[in-house]
Amino acid sequence: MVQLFKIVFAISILGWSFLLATVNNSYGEYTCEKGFVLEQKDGKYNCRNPFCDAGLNMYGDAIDNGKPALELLLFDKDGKARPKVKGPDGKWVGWTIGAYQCPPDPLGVHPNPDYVFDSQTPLSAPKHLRVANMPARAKGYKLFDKVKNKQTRL
Amino acid sequence: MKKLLIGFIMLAVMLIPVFGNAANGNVSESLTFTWEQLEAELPDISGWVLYQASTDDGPYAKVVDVPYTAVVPPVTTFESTTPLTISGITGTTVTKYFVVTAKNKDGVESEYSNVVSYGFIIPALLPSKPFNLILKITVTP
Repeated sequence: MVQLFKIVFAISILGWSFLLATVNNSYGEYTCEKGFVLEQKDGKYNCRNPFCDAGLNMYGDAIDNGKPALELLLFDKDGKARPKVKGPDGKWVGWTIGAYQCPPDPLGVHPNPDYVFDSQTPLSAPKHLRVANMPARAKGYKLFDKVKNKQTRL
Repeated sequence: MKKLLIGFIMLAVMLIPVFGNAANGNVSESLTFTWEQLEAELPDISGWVLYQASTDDGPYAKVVDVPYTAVVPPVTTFESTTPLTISGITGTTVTKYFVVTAKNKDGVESEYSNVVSYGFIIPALLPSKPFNLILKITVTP
């Protein structure tokens, strides 16, 4: 009886080990880097570093205070140029990358916890920005009374 | 001798506001900005944001939102005319730097565009008009 129990126990251990070994940190085609947890949020899959959850987003603070961003923060973990994107709630989203206080690497660069898979194509920056002074208006026109934005075919 | 020197320095400091020409003024101008955006991105765009700074590397402060209105056929060059009032020392030129970002329908902004600058000339203050003008007539017999 004890022998049978030992065999069943051993088989159970082996089964659990097999299950744990096969369940990796992925869902379908999405896979997170080692140390990151895949989670679904608002219908999107995120890679979240659980150690960064309580960390300080140094990058956002640097920008908000008008300080120059560190060179290493200009590119994401894949070497892509960093888009300057903020969500409606003011949080950095998309392919942005932040310097988080993530133990045991307190000043390392880690993917943004809010990094979202399907936000990897941000808008490109407008090009060929030019500025010119408006010609003087006719006498009697009340200048500077309102903001006037228009879109015209040039 | 030392007291005399200190007295001269104090007098000079007191006279700076009298003879100096460092008055503050401001100027208002309407600037027209034009930029281009990729046509393929237009369906995702809700508008653009114009930013202004005192140095080319920022920090940039938002000036105005420029909404996007789709037109047929689509255009890729856009224009915004914005009135600006700039303060500075009279008789000097104050340079301001501008960038624009594209904003998608979720409110997420692109990187900054290229930087453009404009020098606002702060006009010198005009002297006040003379007063008590009197005409004296002397008749010589």
